Amino acid sequence: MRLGLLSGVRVLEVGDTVAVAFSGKILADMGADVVTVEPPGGSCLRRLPPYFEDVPGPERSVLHNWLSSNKRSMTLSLEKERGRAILRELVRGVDVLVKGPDRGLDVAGLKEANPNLTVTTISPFGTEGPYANYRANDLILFAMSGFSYYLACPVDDPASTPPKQNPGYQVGLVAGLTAASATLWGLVAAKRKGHGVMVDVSEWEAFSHLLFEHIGWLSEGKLAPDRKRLPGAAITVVGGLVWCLPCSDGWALVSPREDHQFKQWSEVIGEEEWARRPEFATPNLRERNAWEIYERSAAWTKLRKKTDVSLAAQEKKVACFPVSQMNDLPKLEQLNHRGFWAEIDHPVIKNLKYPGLPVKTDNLDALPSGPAPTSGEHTLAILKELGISSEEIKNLWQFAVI
Amino acid sequence: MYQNALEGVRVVDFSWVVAGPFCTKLLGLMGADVIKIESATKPQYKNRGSWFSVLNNSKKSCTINLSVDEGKALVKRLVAVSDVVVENFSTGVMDRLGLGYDALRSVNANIIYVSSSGVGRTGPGKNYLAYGTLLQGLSGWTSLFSGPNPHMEGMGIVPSWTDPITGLWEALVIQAALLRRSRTGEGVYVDLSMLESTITVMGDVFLGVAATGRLPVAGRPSSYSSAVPHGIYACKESDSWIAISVELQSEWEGFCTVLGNPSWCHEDGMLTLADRQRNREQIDRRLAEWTSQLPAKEVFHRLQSAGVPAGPCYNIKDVVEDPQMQVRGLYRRLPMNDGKEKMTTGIPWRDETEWKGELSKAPALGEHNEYVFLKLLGMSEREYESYRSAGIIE
Repeated sequence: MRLGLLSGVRVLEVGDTVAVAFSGKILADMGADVVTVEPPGGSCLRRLPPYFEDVPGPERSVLHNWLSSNKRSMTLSLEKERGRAILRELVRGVDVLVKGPDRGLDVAGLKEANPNLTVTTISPFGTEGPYANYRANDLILFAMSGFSYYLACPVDDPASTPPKQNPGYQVGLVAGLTAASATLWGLVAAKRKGHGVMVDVSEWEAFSHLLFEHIGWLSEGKLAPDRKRLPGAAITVVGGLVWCLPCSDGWALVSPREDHQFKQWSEVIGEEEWARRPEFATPNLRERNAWEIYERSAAWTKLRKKTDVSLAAQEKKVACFPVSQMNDLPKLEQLNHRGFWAEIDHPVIKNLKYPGLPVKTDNLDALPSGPAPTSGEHTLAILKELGISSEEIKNLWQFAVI
Repeated sequence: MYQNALEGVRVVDFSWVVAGPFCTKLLGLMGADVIKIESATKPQYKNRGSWFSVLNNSKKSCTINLSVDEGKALVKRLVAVSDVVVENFSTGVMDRLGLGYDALRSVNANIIYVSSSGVGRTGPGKNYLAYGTLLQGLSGWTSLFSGPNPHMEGMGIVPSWTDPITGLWEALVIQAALLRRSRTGEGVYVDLSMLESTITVMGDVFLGVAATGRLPVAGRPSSYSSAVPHGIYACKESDSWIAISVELQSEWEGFCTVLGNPSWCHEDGMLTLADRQRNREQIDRRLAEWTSQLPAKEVFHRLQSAGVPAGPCYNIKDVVEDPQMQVRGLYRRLPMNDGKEKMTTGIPWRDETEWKGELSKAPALGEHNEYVFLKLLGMSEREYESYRSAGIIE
């Protein structure tokens, strides 16, 4: 799906990180004209797994196809002076450059070519400071953000339970999302300033920023001193108790956190007398007695399927959902009904559903998603847009600039 | 100040709990005039502890009784002089209040109206009651860390994930809608799904399953499978761990140097990445022996100085106190009404200056009633008092 929110916004993307590519993808999905500049031979993102049918090969990276759909591609050797000169020509016609931490890029020269250019740099730790040159990937940044630690907190035995590793490129994707927002901020800020601004996005900062609860607890001295579970402790998240209940075919999560919801839940599972029990009268008391509630609830849910448990709870206005595996998602009727999945017509990768933008709009036409371009698919057209002659293009080709 | 890019944009903010407030705080940091519509009589608005003061900076608060027609009329007057409406009530609540998109568009034709909900405002699940936590289970996020268990140990129920992710998407969509409005003059209705917001930032993991038919192994990353060593290793201090990932040959060479070039690093089975992939367990074992004798921060800096990706498993105190994070300036302390300081976050990016957003403390309930009703709506003191005494302004 493509929305027309950002029609008229022109973006140049230089860099082969997931964060840069996702940032460009979001802007492209929202309607911006995004040109991704790849080195001759193609971006290394094209070689990243997962591959279609689990077989590596050209045009088989589904990750690349997802991250680059709706973009145009041109190849350009930035190691050659002529390549760098063409990049300077290119930035004259765009509003934004989104780039990775590559320090070889002559940003000052690009800003000189287009003083209104907003430059968004996405790097692991930011462009300044003691870690500006430190290296990191998602594993490292996930750990340093606090997520590894808190995903394994509380646990019964911290010494034998390591912090959790990142599941995939979530740091890169969240940083890309943050950078898209920062870029739109930069566009408006540049207009107010009268010339382009430099936007500096740190993947680590963007990801750490998500841990809002812990900042509140730290500030109030309520942060747990270690990862050790207190005896009998239940799980409370953003103020509400949650139970994870076994069902006949899996698990369901339920959160009857408010008094009226707890009463409704007790009716769902046939424990109406709970309403009269003083030890369940308030959320704090229910937290103290959470395991009794768990045992009685589980006795009811384990005889039923997880979707039946969820539907029975939802009918009584109690928040409850099954715990899914990733391969359950394409079967969720709600997502299919809303047209969430993007279908991308691609010469090699067939019959795959891709996550789309998480929004629907009533009065903006959604356009179908285009496939990721082949490497350099639009080089010729873009060079011609710049007014470069056929003779010169031949020359660039011969000298491997494009 | 040029950084206040949303200066002049007024946001009427009905959102509560986390996702919506996370979004509108970002808008406030960018200079928008965010006005929370609250109630002084409903208990949920009185709970302003802990993370409330992290999510509600840079906003104003007014208190209106929405159960009476006069209260709804006040909202419409405010919307008429505003640009954006944000809400995350259960499906149907705003329509029942007479404050749905069509009703508010009739008082402001170009309004941007963003309605955020658990699974979306359309479809068979549109009336489901949802919390971000539970959507972490429905979205498949929890399946990536460990199997479901009654204690929810290591399951990804904590930390909160869906809510802040939704807030980021919501702020971005509003920025984009504002840009479109500045170009076309038109407003827009946006129906934002928390479930979909969550799945899209797990796109890589989802596509891995869809393309290969293989489910991820809980607790094992789907990315970087080629790096060796690649994992989390225990260090000397109690419950202290370091993440290390070595893929490039230059990183391996730096790694060997830091370890003091032990003989095993140069054995036949260690020379290329392909060799090392075959000997992953042996390398993990030897590396764990080495890290167990050193403090995590020492391992971190020694490896990084040699160009090796490494980082300690921080808790939030470590994150806040880290010298690089202090350069970033994300965390700020703000004085509260009681004289105490509370920590909060600024905007999660930088420009060439020290700017981290237009940051002010979270508002007290109804703190800005006079600003909203006297200044923005142009009420006389007498009119304002009559609304107050009638309980319409609470």
